[in-house]
Amino acid sequence: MSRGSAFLVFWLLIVAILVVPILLFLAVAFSPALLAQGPEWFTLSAFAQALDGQLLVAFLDSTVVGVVTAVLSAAIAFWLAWVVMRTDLVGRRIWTGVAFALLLTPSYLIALGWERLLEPNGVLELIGIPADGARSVMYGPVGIVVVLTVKGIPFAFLAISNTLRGLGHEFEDAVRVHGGGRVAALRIVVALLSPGVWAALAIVFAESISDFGVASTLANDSHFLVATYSLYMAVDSFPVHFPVAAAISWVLLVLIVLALLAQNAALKGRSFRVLSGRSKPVLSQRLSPAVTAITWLCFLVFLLLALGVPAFGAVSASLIDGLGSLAGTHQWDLSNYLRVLSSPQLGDPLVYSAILAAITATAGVALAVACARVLAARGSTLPGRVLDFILLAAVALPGIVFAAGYIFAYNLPLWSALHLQIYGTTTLLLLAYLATALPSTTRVLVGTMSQIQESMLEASRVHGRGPLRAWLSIVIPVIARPLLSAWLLTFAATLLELPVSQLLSPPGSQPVSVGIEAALAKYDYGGGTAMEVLAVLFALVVVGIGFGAFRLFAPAGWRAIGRTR
Amino acid sequence: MTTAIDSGSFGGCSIELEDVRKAFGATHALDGVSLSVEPGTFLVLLGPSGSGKTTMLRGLAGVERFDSGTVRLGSRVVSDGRRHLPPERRGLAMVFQDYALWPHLTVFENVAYALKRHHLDGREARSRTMETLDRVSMAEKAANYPQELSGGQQQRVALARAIVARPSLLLFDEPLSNLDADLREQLRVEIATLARESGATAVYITHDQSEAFALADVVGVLRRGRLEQIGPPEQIYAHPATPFVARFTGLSGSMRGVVDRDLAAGVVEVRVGDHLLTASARGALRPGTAVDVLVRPSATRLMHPLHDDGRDGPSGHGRGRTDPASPEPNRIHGRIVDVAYRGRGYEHVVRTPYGDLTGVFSNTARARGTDWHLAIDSAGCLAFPIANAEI
Repeated sequence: MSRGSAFLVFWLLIVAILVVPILLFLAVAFSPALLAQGPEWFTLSAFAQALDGQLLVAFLDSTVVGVVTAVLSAAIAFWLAWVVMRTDLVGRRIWTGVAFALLLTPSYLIALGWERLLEPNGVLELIGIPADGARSVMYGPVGIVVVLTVKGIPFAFLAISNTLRGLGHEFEDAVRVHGGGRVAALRIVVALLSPGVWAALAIVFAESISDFGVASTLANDSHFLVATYSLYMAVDSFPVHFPVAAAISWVLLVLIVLALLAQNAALKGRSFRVLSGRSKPVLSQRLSPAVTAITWLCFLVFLLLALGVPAFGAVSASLIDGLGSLAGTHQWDLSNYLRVLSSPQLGDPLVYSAILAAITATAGVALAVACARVLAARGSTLPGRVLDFILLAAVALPGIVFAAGYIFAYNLPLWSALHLQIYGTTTLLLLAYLATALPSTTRVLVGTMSQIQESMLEASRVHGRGPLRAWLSIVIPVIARPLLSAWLLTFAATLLELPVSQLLSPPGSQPVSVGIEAALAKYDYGGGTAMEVLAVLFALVVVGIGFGAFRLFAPAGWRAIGRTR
Repeated sequence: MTTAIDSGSFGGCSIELEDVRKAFGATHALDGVSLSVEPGTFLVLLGPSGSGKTTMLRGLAGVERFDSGTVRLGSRVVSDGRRHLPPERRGLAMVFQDYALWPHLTVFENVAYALKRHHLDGREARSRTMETLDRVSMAEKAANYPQELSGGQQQRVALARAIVARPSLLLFDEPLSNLDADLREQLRVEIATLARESGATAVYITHDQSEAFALADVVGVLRRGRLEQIGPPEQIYAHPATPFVARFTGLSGSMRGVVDRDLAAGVVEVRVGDHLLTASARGALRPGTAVDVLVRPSATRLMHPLHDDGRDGPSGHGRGRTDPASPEPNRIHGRIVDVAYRGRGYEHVVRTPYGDLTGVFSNTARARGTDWHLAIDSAGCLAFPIANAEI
């Protein structure tokens, strides 16, 4: 394939999976007639509906929850990042591992863990612990904020620790040698870290208001209205209210853009770049045994709330026979797992999702490498700027908007006329998974791609390799570890993905997240949670096998790169 | 598949460039460069940043594509505006400024990689690789990864990678610029000897004139995408074609004057203020022509101190005075404004009535603020007509 045709195929794919579905969907908010969703060519009535009554309440709820979650996540993440990056605390690397575990865990799984524990006749009540008080607190805004904060912490942690990593000790030293005290030095550090803190606030706010996992579980069960669930209801009802759903998407987008603008205004154009470069590594702050003990205690409490409770909720629920129904013995055994493993209705979704996740991860990583290469190209190119904008927009869009856009764009009569009807098929689900994964997978790889010195590739060409062999023999081995990480991250995220699966799964084939929801909807809490636990374990096993195989079988030189850098 | 030029054989290839051009947007990186280099020559392209030397080297390597013009390596046209032979088929090797060693390969594998195009059998490839590593004193580090080596060691490996396949053309992209002074000198000697031992033609780019003169058989001076002058280092230094070449190859300072008389044999007498300087005429200079006199550092010599009475000793006024003590040609006076110890002696900055002269050498340090007589050797004085004199 020539360079020109490869370029064309790449852009056609980007337009087909990202640009067209989103643009068509958003256009319907203003012009229902454009795509046969109503008589008007231009109207704001969908916005009037979206900003009225219950929907307006939903937006206000989402905004308040988003702001509180962002502040809490940024504060906790700041503390975590400081301990990991700036102190000599024993076992602090475990904290980074926990942050990544939280990143991989979908919010609905965390919410479901809490629900299984606290619901009427849930695990706590079955083992004789009254849960009324805790339930009344957690089933509502407090619980939603807790779960979203837990989910927001890893994003905030990554943003803040990246900034802290680039912040050498010399800035504090400079304050001290020029006569400033500890407080003055701290003020300088806080000012220098503000890009990271603001980025954390903006990211967590955006993630929280666009979250669907908590909206469809804890928020829905506690009748606390949030915007993403209203959007889901507009698309999943009969008749479908596409213009209203599109108007809700616009409002969500505006909220996210406002958050990004606030971040920009607060920073006045400062960027992370100011902090990176030749900064010297910092000296770790030595913690006394007492402070170490207190810090670990705080961390354990955090760990308990973030992962322990939901994991305990899910695992214990999965071990109670007939939880949620009047039938069953309510005894502790493995009957739910045996049921999941023997029943096609419960076991098949896991296999189906695993296959789709593997395909998505493979195609997604390949496409993300191409995107990352365009973004990492020297200088600011037009394709680079356009792609950057498209991917940024896609990051800002909730998964549920993607899914709604896909339903809309690929259910048009035009596709039937062209004999390209992919609506309601696994192909469409795969394309939507790919589109959902592409922005974040690209972001994971763009840093790596921009670190590749062009001269390494040129040296290969000059010393006798053609373009393809130069890529295979030089670039692929150099980025092997980030490629593997990106693949595993995409695999795990797709395996457990909810909103796109919920709206686009083809009849007769259920992804695992939809299977879990379906089992729970039928009050088969034991079966649902057993599936949930198996799905998470499966994801962890795949991640373990991936990294283990790399460690055992990758050539020494491939491993040497990650180790010594 | 086309074979590479003279690949596998010892000996260099000739290089011919005809009207080579390359633009990046509105910037003309190369603006019609033509040159011809004999096989086995060590050519150094010297120029400031933005002069086009990197573009020229990358175009020769084939990683950059010239817009127009013809490039011949040996008997083969590798680029002519329409055709462009990719780098892997040009049979050359290159040492990069940032080394460009592959971090996932060991030192041995990095060097052996360059041999693969020759499809040698394993034993021969191994022995040739080890032989080359030994030649650059890196055999002991064969099993190490590049990131485990110092900058100097990495550049030695890059050098071994470049010569192992015995290419007919070796390209060097400012290979010493990331190294400290001591290593620079060591590696410079190695590059000079290895390139000549291999018999390959070498093209080396740098912005450092001392490095260029030390390495080159032929120096080409580039400025704003044009080749200002090409020739042996001695010729470039003694007979610079333009004021730019003179300045870029090392000047003490310059003074404005008017040609007083033509002394024949390309030498003129120039009146600079109240002084007369004999200088080598660069171009046809008639009496009355306004000129810039460019002075090489080697042409300056501190004679003796100037007194308060205008004869000897320190003076309170250095500027603007005539020098009755030295009426003979090629003598001016000035005040020492700075002195720097250089190990073998001292370099002074002398403020004369006509401008500062830097790099004025003396075995002993002269005190700052003292006024001195200064002799200027006519062989290191170059008079350019003012119309051509601006940088």
